[in-house]
Amino acid sequence: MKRNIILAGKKNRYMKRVETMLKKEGYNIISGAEETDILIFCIDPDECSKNDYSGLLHDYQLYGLGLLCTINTYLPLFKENSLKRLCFLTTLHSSINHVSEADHWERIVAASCNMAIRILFNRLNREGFTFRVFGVNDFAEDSASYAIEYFLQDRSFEVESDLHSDERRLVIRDKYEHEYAW
Amino acid sequence: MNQTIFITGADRGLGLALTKDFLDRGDNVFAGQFMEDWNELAELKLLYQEHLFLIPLDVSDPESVKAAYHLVEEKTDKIDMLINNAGISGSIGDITCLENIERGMQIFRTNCLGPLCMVNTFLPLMMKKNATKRLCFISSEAGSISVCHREDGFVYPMSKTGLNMAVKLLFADLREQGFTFRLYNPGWMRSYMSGKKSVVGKIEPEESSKVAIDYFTKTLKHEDVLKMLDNNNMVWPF
Ligand SMILES: NC(=O)c1ccc[n+]([C@@H]2O[C@H](COP(=O)([O-])OP(=O)(O)OC[C@H]3O[C@@H](n4cnc5c(N)ncnc54)[C@H](OP(=O)(O)O)[C@@H]3O)[C@@H](O)[C@H]2O)c1
Repeated sequence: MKRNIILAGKKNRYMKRVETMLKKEGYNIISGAEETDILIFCIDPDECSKNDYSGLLHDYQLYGLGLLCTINTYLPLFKENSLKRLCFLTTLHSSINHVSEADHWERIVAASCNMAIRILFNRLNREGFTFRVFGVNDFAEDSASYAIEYFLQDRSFEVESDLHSDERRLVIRDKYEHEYAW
Repeated sequence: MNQTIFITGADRGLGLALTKDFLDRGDNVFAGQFMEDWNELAELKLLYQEHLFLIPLDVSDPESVKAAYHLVEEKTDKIDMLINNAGISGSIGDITCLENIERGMQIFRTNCLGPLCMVNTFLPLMMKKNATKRLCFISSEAGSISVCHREDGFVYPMSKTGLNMAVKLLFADLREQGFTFRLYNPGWMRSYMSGKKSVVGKIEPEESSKVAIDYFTKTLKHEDVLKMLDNNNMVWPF
């Protein structure tokens, strides 16, 4: 069965590649009026210097609060029998543990988004929603097919036990499916 | 040796407790005053005429931060320690019925961009010869993604996660220039975050202040590692 998918967040070249590939594979990219299975939200805040407070605030409005408003809007479209999957594309540099250089201050917003996703996970996973967070090194890289594979694949899930269920964990993964610390 | 310290959000709660404790130690304190209708700082000023300076400050407004800097630079030639304490709480509710999104912007402006703006603006006074160059940040357990169990509210935790990332970036940026960092989770305090003195919570701000002052003033064995410590000296993950 081909799923219905909503694409949201930044429509950068990476997301356009995701869209083209999904369409090629026969998935229905829908704009929001129909029942949906998967939502993919791209978190790619504009570059900001360390004293560009209005830029950072704008990024936060678009991605931090924007992410929440988007989920809030589309949540009613995930019906009981749908896949109920929320996917997020972000940068690996949104990991606080990972930062060793002070080059991209918009990571402040990307890290805040990770917290938003965490709280969504805590709230919605028990209602049957599964989550995927895919991190790119750079949105210019050509890893869209890896992201799509990760978004669409099933992962271990045992109804009776959290211990064997990867679906009960929230992690960032890269194209090699390596996990990154928050 | 006496230190010169700037504390934001010093009107009440943890900020006021820190202000009192540093003054008791004989340090000079520049206290960021946000509230027009709260007298405790003014009363303290009567006791510490020489050592306490009240500076009007809204950390969420870069113009106010700039004005505060100019006032401070008229009175001192250096700041040893900057304590970013000012913070506000709030919620935008459950994901199924979000409300008051604008509050989310103000919380981010205050809790996350405020400290960043303070550091950027006050750097010249902190880079002066003989200054201690210590940057302290009051964060929260709420900002730690790894151990987050909240299911709603969103914007306060998001602002503190953003703050933790900002501190990590500042650490990468300023460490080489001799700055040392303290990231502190003060614990669940009976302060005024809800608008009135809280009756729930585990500790008084005065108790957390004692632990904070020890952490902020001592030299650590490994200053090249950034950790978040709490009021029990326990380490928190990001
Ligand atoms: N209380 C807790 O359990 C707890 C736990 C973890 C972390 N923290 C953190 O600890 C820090 C101190 O909080 P607290 O508990 O002592 O709260 P508090 O009693 O409310 O004190 C914070 C002070 O900062 C002021 N302030 C608010 N917005 C400001 C702005 N834009 N510029 C400058 N000052 C501003 C507040 O004024 P108004 O009262 O008018 O807002 C208040 O006087 C905060 O960063 C908070 O996030 C608190």
